[in-house]
Amino acid sequence: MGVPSVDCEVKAMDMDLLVGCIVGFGALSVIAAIVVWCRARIEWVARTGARSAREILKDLRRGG
Amino acid sequence: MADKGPVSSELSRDLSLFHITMMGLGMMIGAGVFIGIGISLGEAGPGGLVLSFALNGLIALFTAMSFAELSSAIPRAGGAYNFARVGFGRGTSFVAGWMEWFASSVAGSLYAVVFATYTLHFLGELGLLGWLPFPLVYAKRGVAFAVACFFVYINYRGASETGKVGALFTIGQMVFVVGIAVVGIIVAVAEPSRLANFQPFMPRGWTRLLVTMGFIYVAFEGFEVIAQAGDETIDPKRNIPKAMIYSVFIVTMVYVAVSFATVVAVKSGSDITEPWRWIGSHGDRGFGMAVAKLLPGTFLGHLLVTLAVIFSSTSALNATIYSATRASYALGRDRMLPAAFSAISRKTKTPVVALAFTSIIVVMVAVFLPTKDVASSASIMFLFLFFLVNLCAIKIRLNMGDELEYGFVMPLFPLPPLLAVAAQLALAVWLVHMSFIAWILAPLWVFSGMAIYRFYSRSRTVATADEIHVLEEERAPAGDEYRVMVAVANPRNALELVLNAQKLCGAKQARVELLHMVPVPDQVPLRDAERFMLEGKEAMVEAMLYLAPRFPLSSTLRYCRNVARGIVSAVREKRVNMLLMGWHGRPRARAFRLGSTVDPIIERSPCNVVVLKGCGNRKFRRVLVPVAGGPNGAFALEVASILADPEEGQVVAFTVAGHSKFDIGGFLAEHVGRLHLPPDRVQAKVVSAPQVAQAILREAEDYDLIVMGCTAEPLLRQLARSSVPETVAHRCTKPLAMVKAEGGIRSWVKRWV
Repeated sequence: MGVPSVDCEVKAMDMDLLVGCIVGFGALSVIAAIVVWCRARIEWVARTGARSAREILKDLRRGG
Repeated sequence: MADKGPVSSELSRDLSLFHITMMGLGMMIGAGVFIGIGISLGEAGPGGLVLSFALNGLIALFTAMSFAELSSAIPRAGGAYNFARVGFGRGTSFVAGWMEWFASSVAGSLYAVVFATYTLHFLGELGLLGWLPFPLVYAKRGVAFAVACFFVYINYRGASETGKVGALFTIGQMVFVVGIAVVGIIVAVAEPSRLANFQPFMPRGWTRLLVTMGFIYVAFEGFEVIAQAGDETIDPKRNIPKAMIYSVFIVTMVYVAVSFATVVAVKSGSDITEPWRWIGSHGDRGFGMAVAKLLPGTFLGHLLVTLAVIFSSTSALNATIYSATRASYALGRDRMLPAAFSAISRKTKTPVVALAFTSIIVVMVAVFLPTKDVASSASIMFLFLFFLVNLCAIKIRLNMGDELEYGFVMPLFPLPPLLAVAAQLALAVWLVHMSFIAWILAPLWVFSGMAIYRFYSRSRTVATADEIHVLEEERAPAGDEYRVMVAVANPRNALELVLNAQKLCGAKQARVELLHMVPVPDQVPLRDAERFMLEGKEAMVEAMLYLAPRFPLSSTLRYCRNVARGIVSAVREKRVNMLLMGWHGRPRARAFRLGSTVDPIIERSPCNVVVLKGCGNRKFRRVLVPVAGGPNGAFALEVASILADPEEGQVVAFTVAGHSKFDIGGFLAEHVGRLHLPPDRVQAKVVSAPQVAQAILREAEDYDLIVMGCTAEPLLRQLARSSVPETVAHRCTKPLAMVKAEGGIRSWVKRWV
């Protein structure tokens, strides 16, 4: 009866590590993706000219 | 800036993307990370530590996106205080400024405490504290008090000292922190068994993650100061959002790497079975204890860690004191606090009352509160402040999205600010588990601010017409005319400069741009700098009296932090062909050739430069031009032919034989045609002498003016020995003009530094 409980404990520890890695690397990946996205937007607005938020969004929807 | 009278005034935009990104990094990589790592590791375990930084980075990035969007639409200096004024009105903006003041001050206290903790620990390791007749905790408070007072004094002294100290320490801290991260990763790769230190990954459960995230959030404060540089940044709509996002990205990566390095730094063995517990047991010194084991030799390890902490905590302390001073100064300027808060010292030009009150907060919190409570208080205040800014981003986009000109609109709006608001609220609430005192102190400060606004500020606040003021980049129109910029420093030498400027402008049929730079201390926003411009305005008007009847002329006063950078950026913006300025000729600091202002201008200005020393209102009948084949020789000859008396002036091109293969005859034949004197009044002279500089100085005795090109030697050779032009410039007692032709300086390394 004792053996299965040991297995469960080992799995629980691994699960922490697994979830932690997914969360950690996921967060870093999201950060990197947002930085690239934001940079592209800043450059695009700089190229096309600063204007109101509504106009920028309208142009973006048109495929800018 | 509005034009008033004959002289227009404008702000000097001389901070590039690199400058403001470094500014944000310098503020962020402070002592918060050092003190937070040990405590957080004990609270949440190894996995919790690394995850805290990664997830906090994400929340900070969401907040940075809000700051970036708002700064691109409202690029006026002021940051959160200004955004809240636009978004929610004066009451909320007062609370934002009030929180910003306290948050920055408490962060300063934290940095003073960290400095004291690590320095005393190092001295204790060396056995130098055995003589202390009182407990170490009192010594720690004493050192924190002393270092806080020192940096208050540095801030009182004004801009130049603040800038120099800040820049030095920022470079030092970056090198150390990145170095520690790199060594940690190398150790983990070389010895993979150390990765076992990550087990157990989250020994105290996932809920502790929220506590540590809130606790170390202070390590992510700092990027918001970039918003305060809105008035000084080149192309602010583009560069400020970029700098904020880049700095948060870089700092997150560095923190994750440093926390990883800390966990793998300690090798588990018989004495240390659980490294995370051992590091955590050292509390605020845990990071230092771990990293000392990472580096070879215990003494060297402790020394490097102590140096890293000294660099980072002092640079952050310096920056937070002036940031806090600026926040309280702004409240005084707008009469939300008594007007005395905006009083400027006549001697040092710094806001002394605002600085005095800031220093009281910094010192009191550093001396009387335990470290953990200081850090928690700072974190909670920044959580409140950023919470407010995220709300501002949502409100301003929804209400004023059609009116403001945005340089950046965040993707997925309003998801990032909403997520940030929710996360910041949760972290702030969970911080009660870390410090109950912080949870009393921070709301107490906020509520006292609300009460002050209700009973004092509301009736006294100055109504400002331009609560939304969007600065536009000012570009000089492109044209074919030759432009000469005359940089007038003060009324005493303005006339001398202008009289010689007349000759140069006349010969070139030039348009004249008169410029006076007004240096403003860091603690004072550039927009409030009009009080510093009186002397400069006087000099400008005097110069205009002489030049305006003869040449097309425009004149500008520019507010700047650094005169050299300000002049170079003005030269670029106004597309100037020639810059003319004076030089006092006094002995310079060893690191500079002609001086800390003149050197960078000569090297970086993308135009011809003429620097005059002691030229006055004289007739130059005999002009000496020492030449040796350098890139500035031809321009020196041309300037000499312009400055020489048109009736009887003679120019002598002079060279010392045997030191180069320079052919002075060929040189003259090539250039004499485009000089402003008849060919018969331009001669060559060659002498033989062992020492070039001595020969020039001897020859100069018989002349009225010496015109010579600046050195074009590479950086390393300049550092190794003085160049001939530099030696002559310092020793020559005759009127002197140092010139540099466009593109004549090759010192690329120095230019970048």
